[in-house]
Amino acid sequence: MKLFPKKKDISGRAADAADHFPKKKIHKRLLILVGLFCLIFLISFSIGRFFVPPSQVVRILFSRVLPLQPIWEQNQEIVVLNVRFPRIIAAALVGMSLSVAGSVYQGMFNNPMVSPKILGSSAGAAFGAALGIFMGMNGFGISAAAFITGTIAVFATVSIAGRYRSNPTLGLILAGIMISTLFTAGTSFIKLVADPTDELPAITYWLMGSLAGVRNSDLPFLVPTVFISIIPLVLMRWRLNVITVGDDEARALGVDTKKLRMIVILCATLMTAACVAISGLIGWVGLVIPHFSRKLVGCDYSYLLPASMLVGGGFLIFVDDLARTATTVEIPIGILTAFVGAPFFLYMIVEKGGNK
Amino acid sequence: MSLSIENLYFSYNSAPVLKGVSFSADYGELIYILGPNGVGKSTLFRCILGQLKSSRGNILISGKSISDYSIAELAKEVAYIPQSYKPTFNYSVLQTVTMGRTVYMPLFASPSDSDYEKSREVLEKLGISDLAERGVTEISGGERQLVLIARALVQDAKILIMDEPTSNLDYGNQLRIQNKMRHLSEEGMLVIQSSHNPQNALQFADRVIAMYDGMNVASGKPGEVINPNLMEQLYSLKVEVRDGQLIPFLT
Repeated sequence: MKLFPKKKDISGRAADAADHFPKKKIHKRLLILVGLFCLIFLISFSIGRFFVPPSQVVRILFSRVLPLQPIWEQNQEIVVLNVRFPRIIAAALVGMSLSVAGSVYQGMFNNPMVSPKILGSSAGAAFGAALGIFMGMNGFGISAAAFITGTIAVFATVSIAGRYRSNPTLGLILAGIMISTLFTAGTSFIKLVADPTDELPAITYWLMGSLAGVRNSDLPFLVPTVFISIIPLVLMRWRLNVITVGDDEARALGVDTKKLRMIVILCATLMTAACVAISGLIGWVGLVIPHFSRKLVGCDYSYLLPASMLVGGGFLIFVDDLARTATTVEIPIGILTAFVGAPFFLYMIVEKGGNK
Repeated sequence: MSLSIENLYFSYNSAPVLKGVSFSADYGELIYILGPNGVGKSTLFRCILGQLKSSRGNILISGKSISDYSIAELAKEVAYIPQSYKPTFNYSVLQTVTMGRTVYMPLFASPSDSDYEKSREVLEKLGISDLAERGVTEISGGERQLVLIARALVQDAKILIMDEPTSNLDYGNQLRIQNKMRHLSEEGMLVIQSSHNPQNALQFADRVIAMYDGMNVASGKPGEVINPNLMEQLYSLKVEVRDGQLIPFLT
């Protein structure tokens, strides 16, 4: 005897509504994402004020690993390898990191409105960068300051939240808001006292986010940091699923939520702080991309993590292409992600509401 | 005794919530905990699940204090079913149930085929195998409660703690779930649930424990414990018990 006899369907929806994200469909979609990512990645080397034909791009890129006869012009090689290569790699990594951090935070806080800056890493990094600019540091110094203060901010949030025992996730959110506020106030103060002819515009510009300043020399720091922090998250993908049911239930299911939370925060903070230090503040990616990826492949982190990486990386390369080619002056990428992200997010909300 | 609670005290701030709860229970029992709102039933459960640390007293599972159990060890002994489950993310029913196997997986592992196989068996046993591939936010509240039961069952724990598991369900689903609990206890599990429904307790329980003001004030067979005096103490309500039916006098 069936405990729950199947309800007669009056809404017109098939009673056993299509399988919930069948595996075949997910695999197909992931393959398409890989294809799209590679396409955007390669095309981006061609476009710009100085056009380089795609065939030459491929040759120049492969010349680094294969012994190829140089049949391209010297300045094409310089543009592809020294100007566009670091920017495109950085865009891909920043997009990946923000999306992965957003998707794991949303699961951990059991709240789809959460973004990577929830624990104060962005506000902290902004303060560090502003301070670095104010003190006349060079580019490396500014990045280092942003990375350090971003990490300190999260550390402060976590230690304060540790005193709020009855609801650890709420404690993290509240402490995160307060720490962000403190660091933002600090940034405002630096802006107030900064020299309005050069320092203030530099700070303002940094806060809008840009990948224009990325050099090949930034990559040896960025690439390993991002990968070292993504790997543990990928390995723990099943436990990331389990923690979405909430702290108490996950514990009752045998998950050491406290330990897991610390690992997630550590990884997410490392990679976002490394990215923000190089790119400045880039909003919306960490909030919107996980949502979009979830729509494509469902919420199982085995698929959500790769999908977030591909969509986030591809999206940021694309937006950075816009930033450097849309007008004669470089547009800060943070402005564009907001212009693209906010309407897209609204569309998803409206469309979701319409379905129900 | 598989579960013994000895003189348990707990306080959130200064005001104590539990003031010396003591009882013990054995596998195969279906125990209903009755008591008015705020009397400490959920707090007691959170202590048994190791989520709260008691300020005094002890909880023993198979003779060993729960403070000596790791989170994973405890999860192999005690499974938990919350009052209701309102998932934020739309995992499939099969995935949700398989989360109950997590405690048997190494840190970096994902569920194996045999884990999914086990989940499918339990879904089959509960008669909801046709829900396996559905999204867990798309099914009804009664179905979702069954999914939680399935998740607790694949956990292979012999003690099942349920916090008002049927309070959000309609009349039919309430009775079906209660009956399911009855079967589980007959299969050898210790099922402890808090309830606001003395009538259900009369019908299904092996034993009723009544809590009032942070203490257990009565314990025994439902027919003996659920009497007009106790109902008046717990709920300030005059009732009469006639042929196993509670009849309240309301003015």
